[in-house]
Amino acid sequence: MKNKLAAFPLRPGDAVIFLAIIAAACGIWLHLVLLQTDQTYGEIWLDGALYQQIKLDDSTKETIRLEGKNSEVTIEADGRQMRFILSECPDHTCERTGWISGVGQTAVCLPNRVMIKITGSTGDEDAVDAVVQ
Amino acid sequence: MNKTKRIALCGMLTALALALSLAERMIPIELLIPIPGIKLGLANVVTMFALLFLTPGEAYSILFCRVVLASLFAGSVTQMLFSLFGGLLALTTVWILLHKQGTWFSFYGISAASAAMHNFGQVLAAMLVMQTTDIIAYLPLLLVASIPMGFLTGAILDVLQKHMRQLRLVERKW
Amino acid sequence: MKNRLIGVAAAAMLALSLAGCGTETACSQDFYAMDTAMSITAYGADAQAAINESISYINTLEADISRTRETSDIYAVNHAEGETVTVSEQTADVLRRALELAEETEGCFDPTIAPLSDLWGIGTENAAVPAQEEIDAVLPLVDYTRVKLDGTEVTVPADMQIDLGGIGKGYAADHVAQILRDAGIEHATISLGGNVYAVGSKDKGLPWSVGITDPDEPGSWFAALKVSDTSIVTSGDYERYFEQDGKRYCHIFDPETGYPAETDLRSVTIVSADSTKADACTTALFVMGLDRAVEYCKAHDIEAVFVCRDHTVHVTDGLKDSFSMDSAEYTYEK
Repeated sequence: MKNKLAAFPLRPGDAVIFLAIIAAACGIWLHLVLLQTDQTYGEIWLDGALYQQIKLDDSTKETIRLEGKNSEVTIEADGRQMRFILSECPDHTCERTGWISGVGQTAVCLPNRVMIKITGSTGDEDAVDAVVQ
Repeated sequence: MNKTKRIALCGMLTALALALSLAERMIPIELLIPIPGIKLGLANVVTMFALLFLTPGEAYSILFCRVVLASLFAGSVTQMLFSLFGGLLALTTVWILLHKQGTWFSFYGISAASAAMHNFGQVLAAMLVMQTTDIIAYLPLLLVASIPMGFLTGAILDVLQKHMRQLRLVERKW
Repeated sequence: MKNRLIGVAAAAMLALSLAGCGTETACSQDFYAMDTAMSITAYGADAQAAINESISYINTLEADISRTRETSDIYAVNHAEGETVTVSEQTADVLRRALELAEETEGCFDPTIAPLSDLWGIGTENAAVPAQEEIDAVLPLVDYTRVKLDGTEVTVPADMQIDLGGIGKGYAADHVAQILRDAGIEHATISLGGNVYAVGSKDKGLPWSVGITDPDEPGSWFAALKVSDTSIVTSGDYERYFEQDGKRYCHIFDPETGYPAETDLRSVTIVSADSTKADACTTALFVMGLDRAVEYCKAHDIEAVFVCRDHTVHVTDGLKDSFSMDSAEYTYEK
């Protein structure tokens, strides 16, 4: 029935479909690129391995408890910042480190081998490559 | 075609779809690209074929049975949700577009649309389940890839339907 | 359908190219050694291999100079009850540097401070201000001049203790920088606890930017230095300390008084290609206090940044061009 059209299999509507797909892909991609400016993530590393990654934005409110190497540690993510709030270790250095929020900042609970760090796009000129502590 | 034959055919197609969907699980794609629920989607060729030669109701039934059974055999409830969402969206798209197949659209365009909607549905379901918008980053790439592969699956379907029509195993509906 | 396969393959290739260590991408590794968190980031084709080599080097160094490991040279020396102990070439070299630097800093850095820091117990649950008699009893044990080093033979009087932790990380940083350079790596940052070594420059010849920790908020930095091919070391009162009766007692001790150093300084940052020296000098300058430290820097050609209790920041002349600060909390004294 449609044999006479078989020589050229494509129909006009196909072009609409293809264009719509490409437009959708470009639209989403553009949207992502425009939104990507200052998205940061809070990462929790346990003994050198990534334990959890939290997307940090103004609505972030999370408390994470995890079993470190020696005892339990509690980490709080609030808005675009993150900190250790409790560690049952003798030195408490991690709690004193306080909030971290800039890309590249870290805080470490040494006895428990837990590290928190902020990652994300480093487009802003304030970013540093390393920090002496 | 009598009722018994139809049911038997539906069963066979379900089994084929199930086999394809289980076989594609052996390809460890999630190791390469960590999106939960990502897969090749080979089984969707079967449901598209069913839509073409059986009734929409039967095609949806095959899709539903395949997804539920596949997640029972291997997989999780979340995976079932992703597959169901993507599959339903893709199948509905095909059903709508098939009405104008031959005049407005070819199998190539329909396949591409189906693939794109399947990806879209899966990512949407994953976003809802995982409460994160991060995975949308994969969508542009997946959408663009829908077009060349829509050509390939469209060609398969085109050849398949011509031969099946000559075999007269079932009456062609569209 | 197979379109997913293509999408997956493309995404996978993208992911692999980001994760792998090509010439353009960085290889970064966090690890724990010498009682601190360390991190090495290197750029280049052989980066991962060079990082692995660096980590195993640090482990062999730690095995030699750890004070707490019962199999280490230093443990043997500290438990020899005054007997002479033969140590490895490496241990002897670190100890030689420590004794030289103690001499150079007029004893303000002292590798035999351990009996004193043990007494105070800073960083442990038992941290407390000891009785004056206890301090008086321990003070004579802090005297680097009584350590005898002859080739690889070390003699330490009974009850005295050597702790090379004060320069160990700096020594490690110097050697790791050399390992990376030998592996042909042109751009890398090494961060061993408080010691940073910036190898080469950043891509396109730009200098590295290294942040200096804000003593009031140790999670952030308040200023930055633009540097290439050098190390930066900081010591401050915010690192390890305890508070008793509203007073802060930090982990840096004054070998003269037997008390934690109590000067007008909050932190000292030194920029030097010799990280071992910088490591010892941050401790020494912190003990000296601002005025004496500034004089010492002039006399010994040391570049440093000082953060004072009154929130003023002092920078030596050689660093003024590379130093930048935009914190409202501190005043930059030019």
